[in-house]
Amino acid sequence: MKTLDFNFSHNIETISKLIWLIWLQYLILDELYRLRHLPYETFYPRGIFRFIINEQTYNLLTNFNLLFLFQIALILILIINMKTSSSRLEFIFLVLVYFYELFKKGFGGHIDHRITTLLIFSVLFFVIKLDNSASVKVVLSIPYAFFFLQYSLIGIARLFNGFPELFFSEIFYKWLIQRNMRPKYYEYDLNTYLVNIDINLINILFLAATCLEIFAIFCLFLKRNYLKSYLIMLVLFHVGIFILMGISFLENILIILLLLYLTHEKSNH
Amino acid sequence: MEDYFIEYLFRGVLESFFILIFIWSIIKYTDLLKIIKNNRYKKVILTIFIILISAQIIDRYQYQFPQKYDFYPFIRFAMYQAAPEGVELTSYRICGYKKDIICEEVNIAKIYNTISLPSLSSRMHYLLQNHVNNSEEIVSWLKAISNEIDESEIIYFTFEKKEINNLRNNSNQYFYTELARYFVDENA
Repeated sequence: MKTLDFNFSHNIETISKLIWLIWLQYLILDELYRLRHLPYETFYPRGIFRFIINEQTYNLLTNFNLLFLFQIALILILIINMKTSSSRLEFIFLVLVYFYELFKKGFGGHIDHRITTLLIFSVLFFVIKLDNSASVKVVLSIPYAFFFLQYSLIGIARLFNGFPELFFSEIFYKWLIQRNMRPKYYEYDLNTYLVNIDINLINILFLAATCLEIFAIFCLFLKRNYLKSYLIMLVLFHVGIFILMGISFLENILIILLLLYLTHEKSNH
Repeated sequence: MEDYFIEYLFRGVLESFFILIFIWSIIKYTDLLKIIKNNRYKKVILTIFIILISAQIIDRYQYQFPQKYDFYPFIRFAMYQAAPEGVELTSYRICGYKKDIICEEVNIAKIYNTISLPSLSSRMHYLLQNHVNNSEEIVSWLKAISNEIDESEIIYFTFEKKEINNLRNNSNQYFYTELARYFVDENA
C-alpha cells in the first residue's frame, strides 16, 4: 500500500507555516499566566524537571512574570520564523516549547495527550524536512503516520484492556455522567439529558468511536475522497468529545483540517 | 484487585504482541519504512518511532498520581481503556461564599484552562480521594483561586465533594460535602 498516494499542490514552506500557525493560535490563546499564584506545593515536577526544579527556581519562574515573558518569547520566535523559515529557530522553538509544556504538566494529575500529539508531530515534521531532497509527500507522510498511529494505539489499548465489559455495560455511560459532574470549560450541565438517555445507544457510539480510532491508520493509504470522509468523521468525533465530555482536542482538529485542506486543494486542479 | 492485576498483565501482554504484529504489518505491506529509509535523518526518525512504541508498551502507570517515572513527551496513548473498580459517580466543586452563605461556584476548569481539563481533573480527583493527607495542598489551590478572583465580598472558599443522587431514578440532583475551607481574611 502506498502512503498518501496523490499529489499535493502546496510546497513544504507553506505547509510548514500552517503547522506553526497551529502553535501560534495555541500560544496566543493559552493563559499560562494564571499559574502565577499557584505555590510550589501544588507543583509536581515531571521528567527532567525532577532534577532541575526546586522551590527557589520554581518561585523565580512564577514570580517576576517570567512565565509570561517565556510565552511571549515563544510567540515572537514563531512570528519571526514565519518570515525567515529558519531551521535553527524552529529547533530552538521545539526545545523551549517542550519545557513550556513540561512546566504545565506539573499541575496535572496525569500527562494528557493534547499538546503532546502536536509536539511529536512537529518534531517529526521538523526532522524530515531537514533533508532538503524530501518531497511534500514524504514530509507529510511520516508526521501523519504518527498522528494516525496514535489514534490506532488508543483504540487498540481500549479493545485489549476493556473488551467486552467497556462496550456492554454501564461503564461508559457512567463516565459520561461523571465527566459532566466535573467543572468544564462550558458550564452547561448535560446530565439533565444524559441521565435519561438509552445506555445501548451510548455503547454503540462508544464502540463506533473506538473502531474509528483503531482503523485511523488506514487514512494514510486511502484514496483522496475516502480520506476526506474519514477526516471529517474524525473532526466530528472530536467535536462530539468536546460536547459530551468538555475535553478539547483543538490542535488535533487543526492537524486533521490541515490535511483536509491539503488534499482538497489538489482536487480542484 | 490482585485478580484484576493478573488479568491486566495478561491483557497487556496480548496487547503488546498485537502492537508489534500491527507495526510489522505496516512495515511489510506499506511503503512507510522505505519513505523513512530514503530520508537523510532516518536514524533519528526510526529512533523516535521505536521510543514511541516502547513507551506504548511499557508506560502502564500514566494515570497514577504521583507517577514516579515518566518519559515525557513519550507517553502511552491510551484513554478510557478500563474501569476494573467501576466508575464512582463523584466529582468536586469549588465554591466562594459571601455573607448569604450561598455557593458561588468557581469554574476552575476555565481559570486553569492552561493545565488542560483531563489533567486538571485527574489532579482534583486525586485530591478528592486523598483529601485527608493533602489538605494543605487543597488549601493552596483555594488560596491561589482567591488571588485569581477579583471578588472582595467572598469570605471563604471551599473544596467540596459532589455526588449524584440516585441515578436509577433518572435524577441529576447533586449533593455536596465540604472537604476543605480557606478563609480569604485569615483573621476571620
